[in-house]
Amino acid sequence: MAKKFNANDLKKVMADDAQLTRLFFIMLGSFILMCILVPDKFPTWNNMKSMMFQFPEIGIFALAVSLGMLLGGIDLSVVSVGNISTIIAALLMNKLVEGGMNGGLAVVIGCVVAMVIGCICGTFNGLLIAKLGIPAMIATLGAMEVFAGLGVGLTDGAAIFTPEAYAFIGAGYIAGIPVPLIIFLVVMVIFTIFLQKKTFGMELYLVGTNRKAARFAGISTDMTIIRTHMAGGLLAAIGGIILSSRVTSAKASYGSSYILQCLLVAILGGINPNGGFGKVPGIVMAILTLQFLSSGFNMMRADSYFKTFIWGFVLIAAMIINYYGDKAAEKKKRAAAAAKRAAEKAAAAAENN
Amino acid sequence: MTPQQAIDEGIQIIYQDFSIFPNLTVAENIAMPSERMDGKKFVDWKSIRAKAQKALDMVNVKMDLDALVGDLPVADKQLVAICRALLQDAKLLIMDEPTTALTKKEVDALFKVVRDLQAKGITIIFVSHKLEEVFEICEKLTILRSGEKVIEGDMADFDREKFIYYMTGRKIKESYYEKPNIAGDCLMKVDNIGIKTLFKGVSFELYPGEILGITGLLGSGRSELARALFGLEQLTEGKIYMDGKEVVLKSVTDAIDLGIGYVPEDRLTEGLFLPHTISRNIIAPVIKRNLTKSGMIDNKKIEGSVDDWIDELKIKTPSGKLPAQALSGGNQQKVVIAKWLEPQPRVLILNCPTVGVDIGSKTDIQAYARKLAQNGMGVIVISDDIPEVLQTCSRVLIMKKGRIVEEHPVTDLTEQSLAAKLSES
Repeated sequence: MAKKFNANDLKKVMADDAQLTRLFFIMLGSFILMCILVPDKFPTWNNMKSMMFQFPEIGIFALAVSLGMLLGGIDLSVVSVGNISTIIAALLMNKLVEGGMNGGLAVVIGCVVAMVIGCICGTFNGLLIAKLGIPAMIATLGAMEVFAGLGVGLTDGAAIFTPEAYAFIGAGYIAGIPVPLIIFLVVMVIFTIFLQKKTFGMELYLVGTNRKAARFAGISTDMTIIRTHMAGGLLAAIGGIILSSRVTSAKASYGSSYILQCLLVAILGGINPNGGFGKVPGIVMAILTLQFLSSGFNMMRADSYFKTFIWGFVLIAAMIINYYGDKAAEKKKRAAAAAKRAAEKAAAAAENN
Repeated sequence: MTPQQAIDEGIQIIYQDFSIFPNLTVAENIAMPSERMDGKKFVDWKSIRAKAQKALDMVNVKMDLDALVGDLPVADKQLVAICRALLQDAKLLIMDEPTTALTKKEVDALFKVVRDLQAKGITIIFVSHKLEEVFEICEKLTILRSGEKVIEGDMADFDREKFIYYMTGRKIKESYYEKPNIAGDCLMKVDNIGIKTLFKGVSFELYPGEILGITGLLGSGRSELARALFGLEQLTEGKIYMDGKEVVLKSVTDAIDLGIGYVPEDRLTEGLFLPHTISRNIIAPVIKRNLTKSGMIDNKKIEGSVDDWIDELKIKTPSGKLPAQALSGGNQQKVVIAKWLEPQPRVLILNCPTVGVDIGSKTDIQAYARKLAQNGMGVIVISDDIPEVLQTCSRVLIMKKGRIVEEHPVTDLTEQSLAAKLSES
């Protein structure tokens, strides 16, 4: 039996997740704003298509950073992990193609290898954090530099060009839909399920909130941390694959400005830097909001610094809206509780009479 | 009023946890705040030492000025806190449960210091729930309950019974818990267990229906023992048997699987995920038992069992979706208890289950522990709350310096005799 859409359900969802609801309106607002500011270029299929190629990689990197944040830490190494895995994959793919292997098969092998390397790098981070007790920020900062250095060492800092077939991932279409967008959607759906519906997610949220209480509740905190960072490494590799494929080469210094942007997306998306709270749809809405704004301002031929400015501005604005929104909600709740108490008192008084 | 204004007015508080700096020396701890008060911009070691010595002389105590405070015994830490307060020209000294971690001898020494201070003209507010101490040291009394003043008056107007009545709001029947006649083999047996120097040679048996009290002062090894019974610490000697079979508790998961539950000492850091919902808190140890066939978390099932617990334990909340931090201390503690009953344990270890819990919830929790035991569970209550031990337990082990030194059926004990046994060194 199909569940009928119900206005009350919607209201409940909105009340349960006020922050996400606000973010939704911020996203909608920025879309409408851009449609008004650049009516001839922004609301066009061409623009939509180009945006669909642009945001998935940062969106996926941001999710990787967010996983670290859900643990109450952070993962600063994601872009480096993405680069090192694709550099190794690119070297391998080139060797395979030179050896006469079918390009498509080489790409599949390359992608699998990249993802495995991503997992290994993530596991390395996780081990440093869980077993040696190094704060996540420091462990992943070190790892970021180590992986970047390895990448430079392997390539002498040059870009490694990728086989022709590889470009399909970053620039191709399946059934008219850009491939990066498909990857993005699949990743987001899978992670939504893992975080909201699976033991893994619940344990991750609990460990991120209170590691000690999690241990007292029989949750293997070390395994949770290692697995989470492994998943982060996997995502980093996927982000790296899209990035390198879009520019048809892999290089140790790609995406060097991404990491702070990812942080911004994560925080705008409602991931709590103290750990334990935050949802995938928040990240999706945050990255979309920022994409709308940067594409729009780009069309108005705004300076590229303006994009940085507007992203920062949106983040601060969203935080302010949240602050006042939460305050108003609190006030409403308190008023309701007071009214209820008063009603109870009156009822009790009436009974006594 | 800000803390600084209070200090300027001559009010000093010695907090329950002393709020000293364990990483600094005795002299630094005593004299630093007063140096700051003098508005000095540079550290003046000579004056710090002189001041510290002067303060120690005021209370007639000898102490090494260069010892790290973190290494001192509790009683000395307390003296450091007192000295610090004196140096800041205290006129009113508030002592918040100052005797919690002290032995009888140390309490006597403390009272001597308090009387000296009184003779010097300092007013003292002594916050305590320990009846004997209040009668010994205080001249006037105010009783607070659930945030309201219940009564005040001269000490001479109070007797023991009246004191208890106003403290609790009811006439407490001093009844004992008797182990019901449940046939059953030994649930848990520990044989000569120990962890290095923390505790040693601990043996006992726990039968269904029993509430076994383990009591001892802070640092007696009682908490370490509790943690070891739940797989949080690894034993270095001895054996544990469940249902007559030897078991090894390598982790909490092992303990849960064997049917052991543990309500930890500090619900805020060890027991709860404060900002998460009540239902997540309750379900945390058994997430894997609440999955649908396809491996997804079964929210309907969870909601059902959480609602049952809210009813069963009378947790005051409109729904299980509220964050645990929205509840009062007593209700939070009930959430922790629900969390440990949800895995359906056969042995439940309660470590100081009613610390910081209001009197109503305290009674509820103690009554519930009895009910659990009557239904065949083996309950271990670890506590230094003497009335609680006497009213909840059927058998009492006394722990000192990492060893169990005495065992008594509760009917052989009174508040006075147990207090005396605990403080004998």
